[in-house]
Amino acid sequence: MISYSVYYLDDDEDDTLLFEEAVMAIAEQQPFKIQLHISENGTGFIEHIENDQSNSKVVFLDINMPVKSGFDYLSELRSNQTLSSVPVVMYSTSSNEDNIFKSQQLGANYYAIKPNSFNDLKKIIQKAISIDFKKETAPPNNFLFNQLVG
Amino acid sequence: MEFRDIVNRDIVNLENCEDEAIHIPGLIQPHGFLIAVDVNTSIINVCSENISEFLAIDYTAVLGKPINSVFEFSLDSHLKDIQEDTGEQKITFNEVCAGKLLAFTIHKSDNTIIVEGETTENHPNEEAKLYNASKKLLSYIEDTNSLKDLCNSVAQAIKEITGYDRVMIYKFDQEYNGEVYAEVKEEHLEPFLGLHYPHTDIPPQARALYIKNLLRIIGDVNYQPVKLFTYDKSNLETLDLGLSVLRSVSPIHVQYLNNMGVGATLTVSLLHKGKLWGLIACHHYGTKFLSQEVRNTVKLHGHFITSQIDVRILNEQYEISNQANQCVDKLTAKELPFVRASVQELFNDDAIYNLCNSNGVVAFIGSEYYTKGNVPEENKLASYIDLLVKEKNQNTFISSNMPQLHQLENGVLQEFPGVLFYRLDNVNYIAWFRVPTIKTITWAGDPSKAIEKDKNGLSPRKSFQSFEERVKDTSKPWLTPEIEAAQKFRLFLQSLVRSILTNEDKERQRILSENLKAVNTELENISWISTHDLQEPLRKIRMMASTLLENPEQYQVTDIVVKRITRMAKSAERMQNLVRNILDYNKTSAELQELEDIDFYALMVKIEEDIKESLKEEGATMQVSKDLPTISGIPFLIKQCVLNIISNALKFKFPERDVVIQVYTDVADEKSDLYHVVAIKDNGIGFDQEHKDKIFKIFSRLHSKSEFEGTGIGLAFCKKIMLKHNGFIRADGVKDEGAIIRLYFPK
Repeated sequence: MISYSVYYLDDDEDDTLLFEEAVMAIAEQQPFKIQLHISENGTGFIEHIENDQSNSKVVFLDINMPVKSGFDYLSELRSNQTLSSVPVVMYSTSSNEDNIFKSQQLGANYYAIKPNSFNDLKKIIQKAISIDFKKETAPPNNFLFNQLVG
Repeated sequence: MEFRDIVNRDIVNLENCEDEAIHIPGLIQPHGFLIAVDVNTSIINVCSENISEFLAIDYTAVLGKPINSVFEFSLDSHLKDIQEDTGEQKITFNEVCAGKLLAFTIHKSDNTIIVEGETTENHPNEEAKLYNASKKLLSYIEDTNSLKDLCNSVAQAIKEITGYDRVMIYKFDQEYNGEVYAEVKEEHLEPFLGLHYPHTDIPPQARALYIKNLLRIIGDVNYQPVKLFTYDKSNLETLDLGLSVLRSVSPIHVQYLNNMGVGATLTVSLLHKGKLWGLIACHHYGTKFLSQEVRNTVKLHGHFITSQIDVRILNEQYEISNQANQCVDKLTAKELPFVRASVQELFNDDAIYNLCNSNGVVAFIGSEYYTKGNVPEENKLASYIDLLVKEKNQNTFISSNMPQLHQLENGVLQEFPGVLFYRLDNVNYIAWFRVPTIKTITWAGDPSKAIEKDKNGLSPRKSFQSFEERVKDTSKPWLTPEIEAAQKFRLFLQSLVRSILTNEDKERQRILSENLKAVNTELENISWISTHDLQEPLRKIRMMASTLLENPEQYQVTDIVVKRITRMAKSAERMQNLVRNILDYNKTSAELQELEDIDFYALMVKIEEDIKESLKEEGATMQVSKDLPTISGIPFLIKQCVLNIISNALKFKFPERDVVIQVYTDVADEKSDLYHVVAIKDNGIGFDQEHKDKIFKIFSRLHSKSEFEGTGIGLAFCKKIMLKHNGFIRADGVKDEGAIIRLYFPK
């Protein structure tokens, strides 16, 4: 594995900043290169992933965004032939059960509640890039990512 | 033989005219003569002074003689007929006497038979004329609708037959006040139609005579009365002339006619069901005498009118009923939606007060007044209605003389003496009003000028005034068809009002439920705002803080700064918990959930499993009794409730004492017959019993934040959850020993 692509779509500048820092901190300890693609308005986001030939990639989607929500992007991804099985982690402040359930319905792989500490954030990203999504699928009662990372 | 007259010389004036013995004047009119015969002896005991003008024989020669000695023809058969007939029938016939054609009238009066003769003429065509007149009468039945029309036609016919200048039909009311109901007259004469006369114009004894003697005639108002004579030894004092055709009338009546300028009159009584219904009154401004045949014809016309009264009254009631129903139909036929504007639409139509021929109508519906036509002013109306509502605790009140029944100082009863009041329900009503009759009466001229006062004090002015006062406080009576129409409309209005009020209720409920929906939607939005917009900044504070705290060296953070940042992060965390708890608290009320059977023991086992890490950390143990009940509830709420209580037990632990939490069914509780009582007992710090209610209040805390962390929502949340389950929660504590929280679930 030469490189791993992490895509992150979120309109919140603070979150993208922290996310970037967390990825950078993790990347230092990895034997492979991590490429982080952050988008704050979704322009060309889907196309970008589509053109990425890399086998190893994971997409983090914020839910509450103006114009198009994370659910909209999730639906687009799942209805796109080449991206229908790309790993997607919904990433939101909301712990609302409806949102979690809806994410599962729309075909997200995991749901991560935005953590309260930088450490937890690193754990979440670490976990995400360590999962072999081709083999693992989240069992229904284990859909919530935070439980995996403890 | 000695003779004496029997003239009644009592003085008559206005004060005693009601007592005047008008049936025994001892005088007759001069256009005929009178002879009276003793029934038993057939001897003539009364004779008029003027007999010589008719029979060329003096009264002195007649008195005391047998009747058959006077006339050229025998009266025997007629006398026999009269004697045998017990009724008051009269026999009339024409006979030639002393070369003159005389019209005779014979009738019985007490123990005498009175024979009256008048000169008359033969009218060759009279019979044919009378026949035609009678035939004409029958055609009136078909040609006229109302009694009034019929009276007009009859008056017209009588005028043509008799040739009087004025023919009037009088109609009496209950008190015998008269109204000129129909009139036909010479064109140059002033009309009397519609004029009213007080009952005192015709005193009771005159009315009694009118009932007995149907036809009275005064051929010349300025006649010289002729005295009646008897012979000294006849023992006769007075002769009752009640049924006499020649009877001399009261001087007061003559004066009355003189004052009106009338020269001759004919009056025919109209009897209906034994009562004096009215009169046919004919006035002539010169002198006028009538033949027997013409008089009989006029009587026939009178009978014809009275025979038609019942039929015509029915017909008139039918007409009124018809008109009233047309009004009601017009109103009820409107296609009205069940809104208040519909009531207003009804009240825009004149039909609403015409339906019972009222002057105006008021309705009080749904705290609003609706009016049409002439009604009391609003402040006066209130007192009027109060009277009806209070005094008559019933649904209907009908009156045409309110001032005589009640008193109000504002004079509203005098303004509207007639009222037709109906309740629509307990508060709503409708009332129709009528103004006094006085406004619709036309008087018989100015009472002070109609008849002049003379030396005898004859002045009817006083009687006119009393009449005026009597009617002032009275409206036209409400007729049956009018009342029926009002009732019919009231029923219609009642159901309309009910529908409107029901509809408004529905509308209010709809608006309420819409508001409720809006509020709920808003609550959901608030939830979303809370989850997102409140949580987000708090999370970021903690997040940012953690980047500094996790790598203090990298960011060159000193120890003191680390401490401060830690406190900041803690505050942010507490705020986060608070927001989350508020959300949960709201969720219990916002969401309606199905109740499920919950095995409380199984629930406790699961909870114990879920929190075993925390228990271990705190060194706490749980003792769950197996006798816990199965209750009906919403699982996640019950779980939340129990978790809150356990979390309190862990939080408020007594220092240096391991926490023991016991969960069991409290069968000893006084309410255990009605409720499943689940007790959760700990051995913590407990609390004073005086705080046992306070601890369930939202945001209320018994301890400072530095002592024990918490949002102050936990137990308030539990209380709300229990209420939602139709149950309740109680807390009992002993300071420093522990607390027992009891949950009561209905059995």
